[in-house]
Amino acid sequence: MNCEVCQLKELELEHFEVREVLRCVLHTIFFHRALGLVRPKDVDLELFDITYVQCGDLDLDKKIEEKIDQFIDRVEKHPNKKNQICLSFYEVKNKQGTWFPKKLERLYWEQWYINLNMVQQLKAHSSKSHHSKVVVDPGESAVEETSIRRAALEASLREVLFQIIEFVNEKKDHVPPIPNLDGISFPYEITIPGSSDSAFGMDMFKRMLQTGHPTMLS
Amino acid sequence: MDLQGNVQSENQRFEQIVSHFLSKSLHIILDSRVPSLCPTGHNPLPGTPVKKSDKWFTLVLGDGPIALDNMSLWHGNLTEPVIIDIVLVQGVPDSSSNHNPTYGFGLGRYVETVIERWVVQYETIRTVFPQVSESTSSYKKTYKKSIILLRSLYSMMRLLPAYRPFRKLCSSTQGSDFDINYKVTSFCAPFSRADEEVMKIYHFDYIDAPQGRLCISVAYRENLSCFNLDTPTAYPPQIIADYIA
Repeated sequence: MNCEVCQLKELELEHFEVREVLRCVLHTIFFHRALGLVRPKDVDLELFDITYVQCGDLDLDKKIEEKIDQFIDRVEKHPNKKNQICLSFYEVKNKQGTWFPKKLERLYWEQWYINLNMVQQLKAHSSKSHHSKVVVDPGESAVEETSIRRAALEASLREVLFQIIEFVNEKKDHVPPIPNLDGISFPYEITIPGSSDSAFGMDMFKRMLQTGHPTMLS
Repeated sequence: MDLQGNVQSENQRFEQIVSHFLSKSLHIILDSRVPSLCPTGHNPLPGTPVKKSDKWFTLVLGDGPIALDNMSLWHGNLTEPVIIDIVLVQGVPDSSSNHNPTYGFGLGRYVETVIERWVVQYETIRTVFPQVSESTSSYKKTYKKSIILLRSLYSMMRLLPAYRPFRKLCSSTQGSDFDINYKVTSFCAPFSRADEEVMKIYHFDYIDAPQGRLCISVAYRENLSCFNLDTPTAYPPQIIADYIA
C-alpha cells in the first residue's frame, strides 16, 4: 500500500501563536480523517479571523493538547528556527515471514508534515546619544511590522487549510476501509522528529540490525 | 436471476447514497449560509440523540432546513443538478428624504447579488452492461469517498469569503442592513460576463460511481469588500425622552 505524504506549506510564527496554529491544523486534518460518526464543532481562532472544525472527541482534544505541550517544550529547549510535527495514520497488520511469533507491524498509509518556522518577536527601537536621552519612535514601526507579519500568517494559515482540503480530495484511493464507525476511525500517531517518542531512534536500530553493525553483532 | 437481483439491489443502494448525498450537501450549504433557516443555533449539542437519517455520511448536523423537506417533492430525478444560489440582499437607501435617509430594506427597494453558486450533481454515464463484479465493494468505496468529500465541503464552507457575513448575521442582535437568502433550482441562467470576471471557481474532485460520478463545484465572489458589509448599520436619530443634560 502506498503511503501518501503531504508536506504542508511552511508557516512563520512567534511562540505565542504556536498553540492556536497547531490546534487549527491538526484538528482540520483529523476532521477529514475521522470517518466514524462525528458531531462537528466550529471553533473560532482568537488570534486570526479563521474558523476551523473539530471532531468533538474529548480524548482526541486531550491528546492533541499534550502533543502541543511537548512541541512547545521542545521548541523552548531547542530554539532552532525550523521545527516540524508529523501526524501519521496507519493500519496494524500481522507481520509475515519473520521468526517473531505474532508480531504486529504498523503500515503507514498517510503522513502529514506540519512545518513551522519560529521568528523572534520584534522589539521596540530606541536610541540614546551621549548628549541627550532620546527615544526615537518607540514602537510604531514594530507594531506595523507585527501587523503585516500577522496578516501574512493568517493568509498562509488559510492556504494550509486549503492545501489540506485539496490533498484529501485528490487522494482518496489509499484510504483503508473504515474499521471503527465511531469518531476517530483510524489509529494514528503524532511525532516530533528528534524527540524521544519519534520513530527516528527505532529506524536507526533497524538499520543497524540489517547492515550488521560490528557493535551489534559482537 | 440472482445476477439480476444483485444488480437491482446494488442500484437501489446507489440511488439511496446519491439521494442522501444530494440532501446532505444541501443541508451543509444552507446551514452555513442562511441564518434564517437555522435559528436554533449551529452545532448539534453533544448528548443529543442522533436520528437515523442524520447518521448518513457519519456527519451529524442536527435538524435540517425546511428546504430539505421540500426537496423530495420537486427533485424526482436524481440526475438533475442541484443548483444553490447564495444571494446577498441589500437595501437601497431611500434618497427621497434629504434629512433623514432610511434604508428600504424589507420595506422598499433592495438589490440582490449572487455571491456563491453551488452545483451538486450526480452525472450519469449510461452504460449497457453495468459492472456487477465490483459493485458490492464499489458502493462501499463510493460511500467512504463521499464521507471525505462532504467533510471537505463542510470545511470549505468556513473558509470561503461568504462565511463572514453569515456569521455577522448570526451574531447580530439588532437589525442588519443586509441579509442572505438562497435559491435552489435545477436550472439557472449563466452569469453575466461582468459577474464571471469577479467569480472564482473551485471543483471538488469527483467521486466515481458505477453509472456516473458525484460532483460538487462552487463559483464564488473572492472579494466582498465592495458591499461594505463590515460597516456598522446607520440608525436614524431618535429623540431620547427624559434626557437630563
